[in-house]
Amino acid sequence: MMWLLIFGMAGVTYALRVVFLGGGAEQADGRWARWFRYVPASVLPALAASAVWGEPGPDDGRVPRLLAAAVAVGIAQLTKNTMATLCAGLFALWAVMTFWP
Amino acid sequence: MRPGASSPVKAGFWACLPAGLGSIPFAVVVAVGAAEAGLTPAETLGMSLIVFAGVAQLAAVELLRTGTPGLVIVGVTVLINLRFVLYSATLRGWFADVGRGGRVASAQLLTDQAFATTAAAHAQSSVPEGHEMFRYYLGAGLCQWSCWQGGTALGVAFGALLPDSPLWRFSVALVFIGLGVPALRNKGAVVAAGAAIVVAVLCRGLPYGGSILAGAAAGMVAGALFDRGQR
Repeated sequence: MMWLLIFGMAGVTYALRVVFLGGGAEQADGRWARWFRYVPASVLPALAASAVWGEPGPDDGRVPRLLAAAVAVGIAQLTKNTMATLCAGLFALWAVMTFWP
Repeated sequence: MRPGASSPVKAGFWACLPAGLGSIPFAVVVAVGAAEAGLTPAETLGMSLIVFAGVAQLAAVELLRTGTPGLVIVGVTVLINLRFVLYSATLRGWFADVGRGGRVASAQLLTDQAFATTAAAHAQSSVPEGHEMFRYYLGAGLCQWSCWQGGTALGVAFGALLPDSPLWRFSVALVFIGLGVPALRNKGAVVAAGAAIVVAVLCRGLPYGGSILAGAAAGMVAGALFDRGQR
């Protein structure tokens, strides 16, 4: 049964992935283009914000994460380099968690 | 493209490496959760190999642990992975002259990380659309696939021995920041990002990645409305 579930999950996930990639150009152009223009600028900040902010309710780690994220945004803007952003953000989080009163 | 990278595939692979490495702790968490939910090592590795969708896998093992029926888990998988439809439509426009067979075969490599890496290159105009962009995406997808499978194997083999650290979990957010900030190249993109962040945070109580979908939808609408207002 577990393998049936795994193949079911794989099937629906692949269907969502291929729905436009496997279709004709007319499906992706025109009316869709205007809406999809801002997908990267919308999805990436939404993913980052959800991960930084965390779950609803009290969260002791939220302030350190927000401070480290602010440092990471600054480094990303300056360097345009993901690895530099990753290293700076991790160092900032470690520093804030270590020295935060 | 990255200086020194001799082909779009290699350039995409290298560009995605920070994101791929950042996802390894997440893969380890999924593997450990799967073991706790009763999956065998073969089932855990098989799920990563053929589903290859981290958030959905994590949700599935959480739901399995609480005895949720399989059909509900498949339904939740659809909800969580709805964002792939957006990615698929966006990439289709960038792969305009690539053959259908290649596009269909490459769909399995579509993930947040591969899309984000490709979108960042597109936003910076560092890779031309068409076959080069397609090969760049393949490199990014293969990198993410390798890191995800490696992380799952690591989790299956050594997951129980690894210490839990907030730094590991935060690395996923940092990768999205590193990929997302360079994509904010005009006012419309900044408006879209601002709306996405506000809505994603306000909706963070929604289950199964709903806050991400809501944030993304809000950002797309805000960006489109901003464009309309500029005309």
